[in-house]
Amino acid sequence: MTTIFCVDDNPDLVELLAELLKMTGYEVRTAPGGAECLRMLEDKGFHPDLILLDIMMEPVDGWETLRSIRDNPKTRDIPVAMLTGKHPTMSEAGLYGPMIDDYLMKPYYPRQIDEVIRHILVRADHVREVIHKARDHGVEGQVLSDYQRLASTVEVLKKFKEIIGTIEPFHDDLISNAEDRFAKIREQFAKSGVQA
Amino acid sequence: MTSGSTGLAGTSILYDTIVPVCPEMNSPEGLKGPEGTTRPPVKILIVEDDEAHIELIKRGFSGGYEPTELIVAMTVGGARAEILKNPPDLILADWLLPDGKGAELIMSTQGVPVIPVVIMTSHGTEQIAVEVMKSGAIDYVVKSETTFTEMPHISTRALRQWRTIRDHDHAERALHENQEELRLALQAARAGVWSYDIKTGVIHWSKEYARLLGHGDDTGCPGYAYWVSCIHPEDRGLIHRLIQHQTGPVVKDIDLEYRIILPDGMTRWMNDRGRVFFDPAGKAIRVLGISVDITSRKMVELALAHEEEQYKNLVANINDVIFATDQSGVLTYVSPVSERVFGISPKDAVGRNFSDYIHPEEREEAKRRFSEALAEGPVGIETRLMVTGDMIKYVRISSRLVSTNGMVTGITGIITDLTERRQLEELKIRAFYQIEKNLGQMAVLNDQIRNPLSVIVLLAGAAGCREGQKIIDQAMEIDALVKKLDQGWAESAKVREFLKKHYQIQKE
Repeated sequence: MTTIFCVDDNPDLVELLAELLKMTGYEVRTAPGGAECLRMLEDKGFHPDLILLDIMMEPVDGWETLRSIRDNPKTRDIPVAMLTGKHPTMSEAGLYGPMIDDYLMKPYYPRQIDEVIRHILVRADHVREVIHKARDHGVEGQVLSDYQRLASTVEVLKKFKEIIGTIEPFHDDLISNAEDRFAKIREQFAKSGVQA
Repeated sequence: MTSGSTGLAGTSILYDTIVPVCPEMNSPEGLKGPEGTTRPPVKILIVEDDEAHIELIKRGFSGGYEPTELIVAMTVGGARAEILKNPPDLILADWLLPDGKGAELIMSTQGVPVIPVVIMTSHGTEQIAVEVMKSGAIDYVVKSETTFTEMPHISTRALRQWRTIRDHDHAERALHENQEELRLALQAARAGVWSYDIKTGVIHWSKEYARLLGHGDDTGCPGYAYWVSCIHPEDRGLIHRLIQHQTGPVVKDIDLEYRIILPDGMTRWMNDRGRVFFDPAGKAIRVLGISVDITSRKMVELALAHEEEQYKNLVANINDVIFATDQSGVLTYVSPVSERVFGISPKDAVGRNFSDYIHPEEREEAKRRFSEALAEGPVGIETRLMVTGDMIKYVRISSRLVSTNGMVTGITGIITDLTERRQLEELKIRAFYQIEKNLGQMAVLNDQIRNPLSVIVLLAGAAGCREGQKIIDQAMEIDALVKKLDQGWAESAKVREFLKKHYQIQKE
């Protein structure tokens, strides 16, 4: 059963979201803040399929929590979607874009959250499959890891552009750089006989 | 060939050159001296080739009342030698002599005989008389018993006449020379003289004065009114008061500066010095003055005064304090503005060491930096000063070393009060951080508003009814409003960046 880990300091929201996701058929775990989230992830038996992470939390905020998740080899590969009421800035997009799997502004419809989760899980399955094949074809570990991140980065950056672009000009070279790097990796995979 | 009835012939040491002027003989009494005084005898050279006549002349003088030294020469040549050796006061020469004429002994400078010569003839013809007088002789006598007896009288008369001629000539020459000197002096000094007869109103100008007024060499003056019209309108009152109403012994000496306007419209400065003359009744009758063109000096004076005024204004109006110290840092000058800016009067500050005013916490550091930096050239440091009542002033001290003949003699500099600027700076930084804080809070609030909105939307969506959709629509409207705030926040971020750059505010 797919496990979703909801991290938000608003108890009403996190409760409601958990109910909603449970109704959809997911197993749901919740944490009221970044510190609790990280502590729970240390549990050997706990490895969620997706983390929905709020940003504005005290004392450990969402970005800090994200960095810890990505730094930890155990949790590094877990997809993370930021669910937040905070308007992102250009520097946040550049810094965290490559580290997350989606960015969803509050308030969101139940349908939206469902779509986001499905999309991330499907893409994660696909990525896992490609990586599995690639590893069999002898592609190096670093390239595989790059592929895994870039598979979502281009989409996330485009999402950031949608949100930020309504207020200030978005640095499009962020997107084109990610696209170029992703294309190169796919070429490399193709040479190795792997369809990405 | 000399002899004398009273002795001393040829031994006089009073005359070593041919200088006929004998001050003692200038008295109108002629040969007579003041009673009771002894005076040298009158030296008379007799030039006569007839021994009998010589004897008669000598005898004539022996009856005279004046000490006389008689010298005798019998030829023109002999007389000349005698004149050179022992110049006489008077020469009595015969008209005809063996080697020439007595008139040949007459030597004149500028028409005045150096030594008066009286010509004696044996035959008194009119032709000889004319010739004798033309030759420049002072007198002419026909030899006779009577004239020989009269010789002392004739001599006295001749000497007196000669002296009159000579004195007159001297006076005239001296006057001429004085006038010439005065004229040159006046011209050189750009000066002129004038006189004003109060009773008649007649004014006399010297040529030089006329020239100063721009009227060429015209010495005539059309009158007082015209004179005044040459004077600058603003200065006319001064002249009126001093000259026209000069009716009592109020002012004896005039010394005034005024402006004149030349015919070409140029203004020139004059300095008049003069004297008022009074009649025995004490009534002013005449004013005499000298005018000097002092335009150049006045221009320099006015320029200097203007410059000084400007400097004073500058120093008084700037808020920067100018100071000077000696080589040990003792204040030797503090500009007056110090009183206003720091509440320290220059009088109190001068004599104290500059470092006394530097805040104790910064004193050593400031002294060190000063001495290090001053060696390199002009230096500017920011520090704190302790002024009146332990008040602290933030200042910038810009200074440089003063050297005389390669030796450091002190420091001069400017102190700029930065206190107000510093306070504004602090206020600005505080305001900036307040803005930062407010903006940060706004971002947090936006996030917090979206949490209940999310709950509302999720709940309403879960309901799935028409009312639920309405609630969602309303929630989204609220979200749209919050989005506007987001927009404002993002724009503020740009403003913040600008402020940071513009005010060079570093995040602490």
